[in-house]
Amino acid sequence: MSEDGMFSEVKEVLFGDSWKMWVGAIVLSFLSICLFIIISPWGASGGVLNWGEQIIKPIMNETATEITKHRYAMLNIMIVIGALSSALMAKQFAIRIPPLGELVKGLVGGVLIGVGAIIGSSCTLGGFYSGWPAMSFGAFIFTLGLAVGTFIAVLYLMWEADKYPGISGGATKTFLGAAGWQPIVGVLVFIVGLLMLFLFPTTPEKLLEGSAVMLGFAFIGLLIGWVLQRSRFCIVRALREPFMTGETSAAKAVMVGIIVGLIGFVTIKFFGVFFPLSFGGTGTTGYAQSMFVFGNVWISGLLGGIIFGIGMTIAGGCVVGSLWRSGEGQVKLWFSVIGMTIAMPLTNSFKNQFLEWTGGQANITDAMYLPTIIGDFVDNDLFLSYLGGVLFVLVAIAIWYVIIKWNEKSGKLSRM
Amino acid sequence: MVDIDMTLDCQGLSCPMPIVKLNATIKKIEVGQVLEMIGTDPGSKKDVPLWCKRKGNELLETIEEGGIFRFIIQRKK
Repeated sequence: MSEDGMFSEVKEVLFGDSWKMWVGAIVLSFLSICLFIIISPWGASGGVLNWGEQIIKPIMNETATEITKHRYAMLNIMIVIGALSSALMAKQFAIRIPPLGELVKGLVGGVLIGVGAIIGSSCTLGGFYSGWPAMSFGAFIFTLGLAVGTFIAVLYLMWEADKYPGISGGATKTFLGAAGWQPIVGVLVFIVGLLMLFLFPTTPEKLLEGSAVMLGFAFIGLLIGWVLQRSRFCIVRALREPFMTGETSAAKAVMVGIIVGLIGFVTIKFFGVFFPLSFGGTGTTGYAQSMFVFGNVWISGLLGGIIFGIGMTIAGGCVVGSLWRSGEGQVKLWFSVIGMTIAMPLTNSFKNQFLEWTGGQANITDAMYLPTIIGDFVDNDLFLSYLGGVLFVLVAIAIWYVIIKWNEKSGKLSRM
Repeated sequence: MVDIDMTLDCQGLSCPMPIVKLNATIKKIEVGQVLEMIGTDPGSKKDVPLWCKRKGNELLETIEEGGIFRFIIQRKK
């Protein structure tokens, strides 16, 4: 190491090459646990729905919750700012305008993400990365749908590149790439993000309106966005690569993240029962326990997952994936964000008809909580119920691991 | 400097399109020939070497200049 190298490692971590994705996964799960300690884990689609409602609700003479009062809407804004800061600091920012066909795919993919997220009551977080550690049964159904949708879209993309290469070919433009001023501007953007925390004063009256929760979500959102871009954390990639190249590193990173999340979520959900004022109930039906347990079982989860899976693979990013890549300057993903922002509130206005058609399952939550389901078989012993829930998640991870490792060698599922 | 038989321009494209196009385009050159891919997605920096390794093709060179990546790949199979 050179003489001036005292801070060279710190510099490398903050400004250098991208982190390994599994490092990002561990940090992100830790931050998600922090959000859960504040009130509820990391999610994304609810925030985008709120963005869309800012546009759609006034048209229908209704009022949407203000963005600065909706914790996930604010979290998402801060994710974009954090990712912008990170991309600039690593000189990875550039406005990248792809060919027209790609912009259309971004928009269409975004719309499908929006429709799938509403039908399935989740995104890759609530229905997967946060949903599995939350021990939500529906998350496993939704994830199955995601995998099917991803596979269909991979086949489509490969067919398209083969038969119609013109769709992803043609005029492109890239500006501002890798300019020397980027790192310092990146630091300034991060500072601006920190200054935005002053939007949420914590005087006694404001505290009663929930300003501390907003402050916490805004701050952690900034960190999440920064880490997402730094580690190029991508759930689409985790699900897609086995079907493309057979490569498994992204999937393994997601597994590590889910296990870290599981430890934190289970601790909060299990021990939460011992705070009767806040959580009360039977140990499986309280506030913390119901967190991120959605009613997306069977038709709703599967259909929503498939539509979402197709959308995210065509767009090249799920909800958060589109957000952080937007911050990096990928114009295709701007279109994805626009597509989902418009599609979510519109689909949401038809949600009740959809629920009627599928038997209204999306309203039932407690029954979809794995420890509750398992409780029936173990005389509702709380420890055994939770143990069963944890084992269910670990077995699901093990099955996923075996499939992708077998495929890595055999290439049976890989289309490349 | 090796001779380049074909160039694939993936500038402006985001993940996974550079790899999908690379996979489709490599079939258009003969074994032993060399393909140059140009891209701007920072993800390609990891993706292209991994793809080459998985497919058994050789990544002869990676050049990064002003946010533009150039990968020189020889088809081996």
